[in-house]
Amino acid sequence: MNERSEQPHDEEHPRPLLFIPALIAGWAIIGFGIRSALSHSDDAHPFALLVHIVTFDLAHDLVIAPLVLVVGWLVAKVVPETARGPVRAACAASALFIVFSYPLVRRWGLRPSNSSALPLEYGRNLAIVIGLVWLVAAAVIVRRVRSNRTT
Amino acid sequence: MKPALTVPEPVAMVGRRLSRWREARLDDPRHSDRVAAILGALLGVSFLVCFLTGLLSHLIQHPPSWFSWTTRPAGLYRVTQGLHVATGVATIPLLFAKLWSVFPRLFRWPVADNALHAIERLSLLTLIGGSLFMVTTGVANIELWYPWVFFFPAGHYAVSFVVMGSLVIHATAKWATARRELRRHPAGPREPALSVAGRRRFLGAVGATSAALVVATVGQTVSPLRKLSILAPRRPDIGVQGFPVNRTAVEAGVTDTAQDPGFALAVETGGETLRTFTLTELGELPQRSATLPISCVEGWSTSQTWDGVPVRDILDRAGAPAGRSVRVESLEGGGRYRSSDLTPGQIDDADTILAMRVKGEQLHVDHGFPLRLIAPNRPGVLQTKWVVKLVVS
Repeated sequence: MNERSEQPHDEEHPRPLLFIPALIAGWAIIGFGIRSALSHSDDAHPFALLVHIVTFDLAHDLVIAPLVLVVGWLVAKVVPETARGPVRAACAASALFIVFSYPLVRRWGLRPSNSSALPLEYGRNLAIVIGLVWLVAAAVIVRRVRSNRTT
Repeated sequence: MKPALTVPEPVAMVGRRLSRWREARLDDPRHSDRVAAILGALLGVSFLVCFLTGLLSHLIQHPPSWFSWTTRPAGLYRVTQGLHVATGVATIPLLFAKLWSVFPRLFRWPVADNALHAIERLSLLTLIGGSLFMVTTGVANIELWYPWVFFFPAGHYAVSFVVMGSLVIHATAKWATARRELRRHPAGPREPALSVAGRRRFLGAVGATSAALVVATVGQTVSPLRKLSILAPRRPDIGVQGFPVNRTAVEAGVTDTAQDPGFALAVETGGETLRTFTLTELGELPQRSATLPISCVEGWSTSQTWDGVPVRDILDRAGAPAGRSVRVESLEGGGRYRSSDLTPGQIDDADTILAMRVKGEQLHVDHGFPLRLIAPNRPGVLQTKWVVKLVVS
């Protein structure tokens, strides 16, 4: 059975004439990075770097992506279609701002003797940003509902 | 087509089911080749900007023999490093949008059709894991948070090459598809209007999030935006004497030694002291006023007016030979940034000074009292504070 016939969205396969030189060039650059990590191993901790990269791969594919899919699915279940896009976008943007700001809000990088490090009220400020995100989403939803009524 | 490897039927069944889910998702315009190509092209540009500006910063701090860095334009490093951090921040929404958009493609079945195809797909591990590593460590670094064992610049530098090498492989593999998709007329005959609208709304939301994140942080270097940048880890107008401090005197352990009334600056060469200068003597020398930025590698910067004595004048008065490089040493007992080097070209710039005053006031000890190096076009970590010695090579 030709399994590819089931895949109208199939990807183009790498063309050897271009791809093999790119593979060599790419791995030369990667090799330079690996050599840098190994030759400064006291600073770079090459094994820790490898563990981090693999952890990020696994965290993305096994935790972040499924979580996003579940939230998207839940939004589809409870939110009417007109509002679905803006609500999903606002959820994604809010999550991004929260993750970005969380170390600031918790002041993990605080330096007791340094008043200029993390000087703002990040908890309040994050709330303002998220409020603005949902305000924009609400405005888009209202506009859509109105234009649906007039058409 | 004959599969290259046979897999147990239950695995193949799951693979086929996931592949059907993939096919259904890819009908959605937000998961289309065009979206992947547009986001891919934007990420290609942002990665290249981050890589080149990051590499430049590395070369300035660890100059190999073939590299020399000029003092002019005075604010160039401020721009390149500000761009490095702002572009990295702008990349975050683009990267996650791209990963979300292409995620269904992970579930192709069969996993690969031939060896090259398998290698191409495996290269995504270093590209994706490496990219996430770069943005995560970069953000944690500007937020002064270091939850790992490696020294941030060493890890960030090594992995940047892993990512760029992987990007060369990925971009070449996808070149033909991306070119076709980017050249195609946006609302071509193959595409219904509803699908074009869906794609544009998605890309619009991603672009808006990226812009919002930049505005929320870039005021740490673009001063007029500072009041909008409510998530910036630094504010250019907050700190002792009205601007930020990277390392305080307490953190450096120099609070007492920096304020010792017997303080004197020594000029040395070959282990021999040529001359010492007390603060009074330095204050009586012709003063130079220079308006120069402090540009931190962490992406904040601030321009201030400094007063002090040109390093060239101090060396001349000590009878130091010209045309030599100089190591500027701090009172700090240890640490990676307790000294920095000045090339003969940098010393000859009249604005390369040992500052004693800023904004017309005596330097605060956190800004490097009694003496700090301030020179044009230089990373903040090389603007050595609490200078006690100039060692001529």
